[in-house]
Amino acid sequence: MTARAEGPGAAASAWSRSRHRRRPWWLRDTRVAVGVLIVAGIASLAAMAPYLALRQPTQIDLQQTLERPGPAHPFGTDQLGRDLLSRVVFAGRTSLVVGVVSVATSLAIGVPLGLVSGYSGGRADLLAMRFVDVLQAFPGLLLAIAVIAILGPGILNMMLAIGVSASPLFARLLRASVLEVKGEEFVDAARATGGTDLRIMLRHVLPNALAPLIAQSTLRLGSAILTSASLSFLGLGVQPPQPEWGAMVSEARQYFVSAPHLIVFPGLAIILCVLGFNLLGEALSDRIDPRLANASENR
Amino acid sequence: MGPHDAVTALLHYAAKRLLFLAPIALGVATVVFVLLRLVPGDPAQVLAGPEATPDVIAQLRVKFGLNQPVLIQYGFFLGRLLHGDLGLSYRSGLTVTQEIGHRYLATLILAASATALAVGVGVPLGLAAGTHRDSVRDRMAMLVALVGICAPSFWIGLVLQYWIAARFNLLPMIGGGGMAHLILPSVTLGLYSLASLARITRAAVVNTAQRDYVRTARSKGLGMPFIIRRHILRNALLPILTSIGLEFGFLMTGAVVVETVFAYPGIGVLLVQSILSRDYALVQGLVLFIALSYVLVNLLTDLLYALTDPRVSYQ
Repeated sequence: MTARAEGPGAAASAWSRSRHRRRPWWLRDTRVAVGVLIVAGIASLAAMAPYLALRQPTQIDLQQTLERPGPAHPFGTDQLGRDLLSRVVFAGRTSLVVGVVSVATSLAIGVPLGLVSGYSGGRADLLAMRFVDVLQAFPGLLLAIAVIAILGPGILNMMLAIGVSASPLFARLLRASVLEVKGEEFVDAARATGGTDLRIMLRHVLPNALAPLIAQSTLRLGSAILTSASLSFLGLGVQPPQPEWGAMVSEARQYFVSAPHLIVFPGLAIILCVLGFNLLGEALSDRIDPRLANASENR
Repeated sequence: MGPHDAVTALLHYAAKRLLFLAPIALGVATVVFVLLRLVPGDPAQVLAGPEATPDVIAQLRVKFGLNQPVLIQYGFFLGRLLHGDLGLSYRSGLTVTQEIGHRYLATLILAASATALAVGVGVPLGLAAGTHRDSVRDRMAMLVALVGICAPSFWIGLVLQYWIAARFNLLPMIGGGGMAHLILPSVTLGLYSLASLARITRAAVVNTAQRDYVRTARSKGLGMPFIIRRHILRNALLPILTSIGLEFGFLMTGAVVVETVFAYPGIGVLLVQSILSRDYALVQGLVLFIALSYVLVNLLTDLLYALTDPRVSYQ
């Protein structure tokens, strides 16, 4: 997915585009513009939610249950008469926090594992990679579900579970990148000037090996939000009455045939949010490493 | 290398890969064993379930050797595993193997039909997009595929239920049984993989179409359909096959969500129920079972390479 179809002047614009090479790449890539627009929009709505003229997301009004979208309630009301617009906006706060904390957890586990494994090699590397192999034998949601089975359902446990289950990916990615950087001359130079392993690892190797992780983190933000919505839908994540898109859809299941707006709006919010992070993440990963393009589907 | 040698080489490779499988399977079993010990409380109580009497707990403790040191317990656990003994589900009183057994097939059928749909539609879609790169058709297909990987499956499932089952009454809304009950869950489950396969196929086709041998074929005056069949598709097949294998494994867990939406009687619904009712023996068995099936499917995918791509070496 790159730029839009150009219409009749396609050949000419291809030529003029090559003349504008000096424009930064992120201005030339429509995915970045759309992605930033979506993510910034959702993030600012989420940040300002308490200050917007919205009703309380948990305020029950049994006089106005299951109302269709209208002037008083732009997205309608749910089975308990709560304002759906307010709940969708406040749920965005939850989802963004869950996404960021989950990815941070993955990084906190995956980065040390991948760094040490790639840098030191040998037995530590072998051991770490076999451990990662075993974790990766649990496909998709399974590891996260297994962790929740132990810790019990809830938002904190869910973030931890999603974080743990995505950490092997980061460990592998960083290890591969560290192996490449390790052979560079500046690493030899640092060693020749008497740098300790720890210093070389943290000051020279890590900063230069991090690029692929940035793109992957953005992609994982989207998929962490998707996963958390699924887990909350199953009753294993965020618990009602706290608003969360997946949990909202789950709560509305009994009523959705007569009131489809209850599932339409939270669902569209999930799609939009994940789409934003995916567009950004894909543009970044194409830019950082074209070989990785499309290789890392997000789960 | 004659055809006979090729077969022997393949068998050797298969045997070797099976040996590699053993440590992974052991690792998976170990993780599952450790996970259960991490549940707070007495493991015998945990396995017996919240409503167990002290008698039952004591019996279980002796039977599973839970009063022994952890390492010996681990040995017992592996020994029982080799005999297919995963304990009892406290809720139904059936053995875990029985519980899984009569539901596993239902999930397997669901995952297989979702895979068939994803491959049958996703690969041609990606091929059509990739061979007409940057055309309107390509852009439309890839836009739809992009939205397809962003949409949560439970939502797709509910939307299909609303339109196809509730509004137009074309197919049953929930439940398991005949073919009619299989259609909506398969479409729901397969949609993500369909979108993802279409994207991967397009990328592989675009990549292959830039190779020198494709240019040679075109300059020889060969027709596009022939080039696509003989030169592009065959060479683009490797990444596509890898993803099909991976997708199938993911579909086994994706089924957890879809089965819940459609109340489809498979192991996914069972997994969620067993977690919510703290039936740990069953959770343990199911996690083990799903992970091992996934590992096995990946092995089969690797073996498939050998049949499709002579460049892959099996030393």
